[in-house]
Amino acid sequence: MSEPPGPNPLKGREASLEDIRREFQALTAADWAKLDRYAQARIRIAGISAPGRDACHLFMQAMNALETGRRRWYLDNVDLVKFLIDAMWSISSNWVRRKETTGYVQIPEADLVRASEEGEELESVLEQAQSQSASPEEQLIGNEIQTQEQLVEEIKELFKDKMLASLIIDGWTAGMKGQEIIEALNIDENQYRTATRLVRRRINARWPKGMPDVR
Amino acid sequence: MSAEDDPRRPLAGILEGLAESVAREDPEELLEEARAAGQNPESSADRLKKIALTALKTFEQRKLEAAREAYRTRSSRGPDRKDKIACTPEERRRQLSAIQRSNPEIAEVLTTQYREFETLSDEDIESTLEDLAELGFLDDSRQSPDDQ
Repeated sequence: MSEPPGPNPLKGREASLEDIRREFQALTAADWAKLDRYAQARIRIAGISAPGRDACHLFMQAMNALETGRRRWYLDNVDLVKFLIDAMWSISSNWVRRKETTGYVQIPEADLVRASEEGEELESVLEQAQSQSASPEEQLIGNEIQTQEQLVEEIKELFKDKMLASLIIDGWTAGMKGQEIIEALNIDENQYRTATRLVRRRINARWPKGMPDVR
Repeated sequence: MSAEDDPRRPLAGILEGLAESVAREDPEELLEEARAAGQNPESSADRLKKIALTALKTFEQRKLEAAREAYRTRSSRGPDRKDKIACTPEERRRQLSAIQRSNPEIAEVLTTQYREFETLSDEDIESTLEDLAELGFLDDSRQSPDDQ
């Protein structure tokens, strides 16, 4: 961490490296699955704006922010999973914002290389992005890829028999957050969760390898 | 352009909603969902866990290396000269006397500063030895720094 961890009267105790290691060791398989699933979900969003990035890269960025103290974790206030999820949300949202304002995403040099599972360096994000430039043949295939509007219609079609799920999808397409939808529909958290489980399960069943690319 | 008019927004909204629903979901439920979808969540989780633990280890190694480097830098400066000051007041008094005897120019300065050496307090002696230590006179009490 950039400064010695210590208590903050407003935020509590900042996690030390030892705390971080201990909490990581204590994460369950389900916690890891949640982190992985969230990273995948955020990358799907950022992927539109930040090609060449994957869930591991996003997770590594969150880890890096934690280790270096760029984002401080006050462990009495929030658990490690929530902290990492917030970090991944913030990092991927920045990618999207930068792309929208500047037209491209500037990748800091330090971010270009990440470690593999065994610790050795993998190919840089830039290399991955370069290797993804489309050939003429791929461009022809790309023209056959459905548009975003077509994919949205296909998703909506999956829930036409489920009123609540359909309304939630409508809320999402209008840019509403979960809490706003709960309040607008006058439902409780459990009803919302049950409906969103159905949404995820049907989408998973329709596209088991992830939603298709769109143009 | 409103969110409804921008063709990118509805899909982005759905993806945001799905991600948020994952964030507020019980981890066990997500594990179950992934299994039900025929995925292998344990394998993905293992991959992420290895990445996290490798990153932590690398970070700890870097910190350790930085600490080692700082220690090496300190060590290369040699031992702290103040460590050479004697431990007891009697020994310190003898040590100062020895320095005076072997370094007449110091004796002269000290005599000017403290006309009655015998009446110097233990604190004065210790403080004088600290100053002399900084100047290198304790590196070898028989020599002045110029001789070294």
